[in-house]
Amino acid sequence: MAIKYEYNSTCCSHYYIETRNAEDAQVVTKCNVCGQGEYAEINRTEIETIAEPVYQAPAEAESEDLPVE
Amino acid sequence: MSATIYSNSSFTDTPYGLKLQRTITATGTTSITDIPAGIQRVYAIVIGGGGAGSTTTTGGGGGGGAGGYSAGWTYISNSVTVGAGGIGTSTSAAGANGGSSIYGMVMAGGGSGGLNSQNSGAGGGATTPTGLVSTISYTGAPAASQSIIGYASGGASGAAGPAGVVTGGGSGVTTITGTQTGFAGGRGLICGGGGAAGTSGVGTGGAGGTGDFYAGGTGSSGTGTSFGGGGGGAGYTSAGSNASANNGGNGGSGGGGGGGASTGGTAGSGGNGVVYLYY
Repeated sequence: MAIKYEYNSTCCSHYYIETRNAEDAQVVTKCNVCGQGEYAEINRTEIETIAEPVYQAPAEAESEDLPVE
Repeated sequence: MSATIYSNSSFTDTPYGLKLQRTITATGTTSITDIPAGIQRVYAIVIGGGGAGSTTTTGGGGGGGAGGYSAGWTYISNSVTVGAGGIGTSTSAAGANGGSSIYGMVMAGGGSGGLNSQNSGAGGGATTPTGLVSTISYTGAPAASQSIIGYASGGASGAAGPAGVVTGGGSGVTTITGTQTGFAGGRGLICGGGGAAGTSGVGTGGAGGTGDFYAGGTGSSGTGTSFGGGGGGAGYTSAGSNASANNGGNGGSGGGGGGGASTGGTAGSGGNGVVYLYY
């Protein structure tokens, strides 16, 4: 389960989002617009991980689909 | 008032006038359905997971390659995939490759795991390499063979990982007597792990590759086969971990390659990938 963390910077109120696992550290802590303030959390939401697509080989062509020599 | 944005690595490739709005490190595929209306295209930096180091029954295994780095404009997508770093094990076999990351049409492969020998893995390009040869990069820069510098550099056998933007791991050492030193991972933006040394003499693992923003981990050193693990390579968002005993250090987050292990130790895992979105 991933978590979407929403932040506002304490300097210029830049709205910024990180989506990470709960046990992982915040990646960007300093405001990346003016470089002055920190990011203060304003909301967090759980996001489900989408199942990975699974490759499926195409079905074998039927005999009538084969090109005629 | 002066800004100190240049101390923040997330600014390295920011297109003028855009802001970093989202960072995704959760591995796997997650949905993004709340990009503001009117935003039709975004600038994405996409980094794959690092490869795991390898371990060998005798001697030292090779370091894993770094995850690929791709950046460019893309249409917006309602999902994002972040590749996990390859997990290091104590099984004498090739290390696991890192997973690929993708957002829209910007994609980056994982790094190759260290090989089932002393040989290291190559750095990842737009897709994931398997072995000593890297893959073509998202920019179109060509793949690089063993010990060749490249955007994504090749792996190494009996040598340090070559330099690049995304680098291969350092080779381990097969000699099991006397004083031996594993080879370092390549230096670059995102770096491969160091190779291991497993010897009855003094063994020192190779250091993980030194990154532009973060350091690689150091190899461990001591007398006997319970030492000599290689350090983890520097990632885009954190330093590589130091090796411990004969175990490899983990690669830094943001695609660092794992360090090789010696004499049946546990190889270091690669760092997970990351995706940045600017708009």
